[in-house]
Amino acid sequence: MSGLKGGLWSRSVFWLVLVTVCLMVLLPILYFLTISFASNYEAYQFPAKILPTLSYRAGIRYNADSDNYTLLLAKGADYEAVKTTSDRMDMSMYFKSQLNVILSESSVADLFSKARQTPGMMETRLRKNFFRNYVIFFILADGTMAALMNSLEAAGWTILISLILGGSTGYILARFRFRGRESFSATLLVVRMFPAVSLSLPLVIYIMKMNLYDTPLSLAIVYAVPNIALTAWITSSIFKGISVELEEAAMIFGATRLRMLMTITFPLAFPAIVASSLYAFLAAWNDSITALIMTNENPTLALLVYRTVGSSTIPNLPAAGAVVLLIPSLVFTFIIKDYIKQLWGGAKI
Amino acid sequence: MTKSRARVLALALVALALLNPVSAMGGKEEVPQKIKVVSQMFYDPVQQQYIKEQVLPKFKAETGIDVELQVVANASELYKTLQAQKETGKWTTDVLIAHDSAAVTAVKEYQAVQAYEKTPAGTYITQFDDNFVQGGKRYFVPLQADVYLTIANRKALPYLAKLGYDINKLTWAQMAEWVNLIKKETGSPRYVFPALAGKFATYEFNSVQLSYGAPYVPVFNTPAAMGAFKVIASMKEGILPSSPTIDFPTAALVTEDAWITVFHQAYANASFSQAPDKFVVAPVPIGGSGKRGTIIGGHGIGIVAGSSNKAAAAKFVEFFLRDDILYSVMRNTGPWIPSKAEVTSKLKDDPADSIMKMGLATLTGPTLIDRVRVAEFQDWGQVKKLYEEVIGDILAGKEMTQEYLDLKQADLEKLRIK
Amino acid sequence: MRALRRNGFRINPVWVLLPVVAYYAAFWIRPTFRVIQESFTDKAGQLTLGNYIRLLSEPEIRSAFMNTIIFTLGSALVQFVLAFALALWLNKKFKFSNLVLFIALIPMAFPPAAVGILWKTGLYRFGWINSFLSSVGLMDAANPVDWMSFRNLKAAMFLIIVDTWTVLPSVMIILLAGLQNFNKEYEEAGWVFGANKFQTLKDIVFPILRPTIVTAMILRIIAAIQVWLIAVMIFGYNVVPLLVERIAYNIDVITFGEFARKDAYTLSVIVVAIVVISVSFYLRFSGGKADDGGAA
Repeated sequence: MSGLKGGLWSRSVFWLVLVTVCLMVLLPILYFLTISFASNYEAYQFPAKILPTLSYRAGIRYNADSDNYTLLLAKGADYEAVKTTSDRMDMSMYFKSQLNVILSESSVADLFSKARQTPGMMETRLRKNFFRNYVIFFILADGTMAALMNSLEAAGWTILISLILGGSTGYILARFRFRGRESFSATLLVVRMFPAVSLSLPLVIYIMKMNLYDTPLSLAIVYAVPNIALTAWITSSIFKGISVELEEAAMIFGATRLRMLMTITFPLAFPAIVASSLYAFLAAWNDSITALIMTNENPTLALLVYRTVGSSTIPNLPAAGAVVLLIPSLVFTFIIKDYIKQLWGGAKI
Repeated sequence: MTKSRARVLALALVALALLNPVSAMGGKEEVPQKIKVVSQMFYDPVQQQYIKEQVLPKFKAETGIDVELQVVANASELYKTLQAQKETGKWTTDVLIAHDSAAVTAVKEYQAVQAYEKTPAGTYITQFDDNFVQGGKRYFVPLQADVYLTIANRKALPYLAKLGYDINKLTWAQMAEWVNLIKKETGSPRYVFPALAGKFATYEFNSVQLSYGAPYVPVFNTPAAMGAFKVIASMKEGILPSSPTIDFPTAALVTEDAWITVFHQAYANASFSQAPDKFVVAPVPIGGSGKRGTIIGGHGIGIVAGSSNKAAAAKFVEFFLRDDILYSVMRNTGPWIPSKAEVTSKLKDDPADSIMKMGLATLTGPTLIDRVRVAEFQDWGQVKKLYEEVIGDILAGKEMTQEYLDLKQADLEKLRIK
Repeated sequence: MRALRRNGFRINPVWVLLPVVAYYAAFWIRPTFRVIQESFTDKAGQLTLGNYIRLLSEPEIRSAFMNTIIFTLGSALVQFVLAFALALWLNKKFKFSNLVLFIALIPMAFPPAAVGILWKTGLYRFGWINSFLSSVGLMDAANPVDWMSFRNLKAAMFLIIVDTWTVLPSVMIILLAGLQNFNKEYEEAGWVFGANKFQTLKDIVFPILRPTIVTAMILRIIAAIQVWLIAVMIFGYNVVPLLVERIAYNIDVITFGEFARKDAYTLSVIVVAIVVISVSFYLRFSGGKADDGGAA
């Protein structure tokens, strides 16, 4: 509260910090979103706009001496000549590929005939097809939908493997003392931090032998390695928090351990299980280097986005791709957010 | 989070975890009339967009065959794709569009392409037949050729006029004067020499080296090679310092950060088509030998030997090589030099056709040309790196001495396959 | 406990761990062994140190080492200071603290590929950074800064900024959790005895938060050692060589190079070694036992 109670000086510092923090986060994102909606022509304009545009202020001029038409686009107070042609098809293609303006040949013909009747330059407004970049992104990468499915499938397998193996390990670690327990947990800690890239290279040989090369399952096998350990760690701390007495009581009344697990322990540990599966999801979703090694024709979405950047000289399409990649992980991160705080409560690894 | 929300979420996650594996096991349905084209061409998204929106639907309308186009970024990505298919024995590719420098490896190493029993009709350029025809059999039919050319923003032309030079007869020494004059008068460097690692720096240098009379590239320490490095070094002040982070000149040209470049025609043209009225296109400059020099490249189309849809693949090849299709593809994804005399003979005078003709004149004229010699070196990436180091050193102000270049040549020799 | 064991399972519960052990034997120990083996043998399978010697003699690898160290330490330091300050501030629960927290967490959701693209679109000469700077009058629009031409240390600094932008929230949230957990009375007791803010921070908050801080930082350091994608996305390969970036370069760019495979294997071993050393440092410093669990 002290931040608000202070004098003018500290209050203005407070607001300055607040605004700076918010701007540091929001400004890049805003510009970035705008770029993802920019046409090829707009993507190169400087200074870049902070909000996306919906249309262009344009002009068409008929050049009587060469019998062709010049398209001009507003640049500041002036107009800039960008394309001169006599061919309607040519102009229509230009509208589509450079300006994200979809105009049929006959609409272009209408524009041309109006321009012909107008002395000097005919002013007009060209309406932009707002989501064109996103459409192109999906057209370009035939594989975009497939890549999205691959990412989801890899994430699904990762969650499945991590939960079954990690969850059971977590339970055993929480409930039983056995010889080698200490070193077993220490090993899990090392695995949790193990760089996946070092595993992918040699594993790809085995994966090929197992006939799993280029499949999402092969990716999940790698992603699950650190995630089993993470899941074990998260769930064991939760299982510890569930009182043993409760379990014992259930079993005194004749429940088998399995039944007891299903009816008492599992529902109580539920939030931790969700949280750890979200972690597994993000690990699979964000990776690209493992996918680089382990896949070929069936890349994941992150890898696909990485590749389209390489092939694009323009920032707009990659930006649209990145937004597609971003949305699911944004959703998941904000669901996971509450759990992270719970999990890090005592903050020990 | 409330419990019900968590439950819905968990259900979704469990569904995700369970359904995916199940659907994966369900197996994919066989769609008989679908072929897959793997291509090294059409790397730029605008090019891909044209093929996917304008050309493939036309093919589908005519034949009912669906085409999936997969573009690979470079030769090593192509080899990775072929290797995986060869090792697993599952050929999912039906048609291959390969660069001439990758053609031999695709045939010999991966046995990926089958020989044509009958060459498709037409009169094709023969410049790449040493790679496309092996052991007397034709594996690839050329689609196009490309050369380097000069592209300049109209804003740069007054400075050239001041010097009294003609852009169509420009020499490299005059280019250096032009670039330096612009830097002097505007205060900004305006020539872009794209040199991102693994991309084009080598070929940009090679074109200059050839024009200085180098009979063979890559090379570093001959007088011709040195002449080329020196003329580029003399332009140093006028070259955009961010050049080593730039892969293609498009962005720099379109934003007008840079005004001039000599670059691979397809990419130079990507900027040209963005605002055709702003640019002029000219042939590559003339070097110390009195002739122009350029690396040439080309792509060919072949049918995959292991394809299970060979009839459909052959139909696609025939379609793609048809005069009207080839012309529209060459015009709208390039402009490139079409491989077929039946197409080049009908070129008109508008800007795009003029570029094709200019390229054809460079290709067939007295130009000193050479090819990308990937096959002669152990690791082409390392060769490229040597050239990338040179441009880095030039921009850092290093002198192009004989000693320095001898060291580079020694590094190059180490990479040569004995 | 003992009663439970007899009651529930017919067999020793440790057998439940068998699938995990098997999984790790197949997909962790075996490949790890293989990587190590590959790194110490030549192509003919002979035992050799040649791979390491070759790598260490390459200037790129040496600069990759240096850059990785600079990047790791630099980003850890910057992120710690900023995250700690931010966490202390947000811990105060002011009027908009929840909204600010929400906003501050957004970058955490960005996959590295998206972060790379976001900042690359900013770094072009015509990108949004220059656009913003010139629109608020901090830069001459006619003469924009060419961020992409940054090299060496300057480029590494930029990567630190980009990395900080995206991971700061995850460091902060851990520290915040630690702060919120810790008994408020401690701090108030401090005020009562007349300690000033700095002293409170130094003598009370720090020591109690120490395990939280160590945890957050070690996690960061381990992740920072493995950073590569943002560097490649922004500057391309070779411009800011990093250890894992070199691995990716060998796999992705010079895939069929003579030593590409061996170099990738050997670099992997080096990265693993660094990570394992960092983890053991953590265990010593935090003094914590590995199995204590988070919510304990």
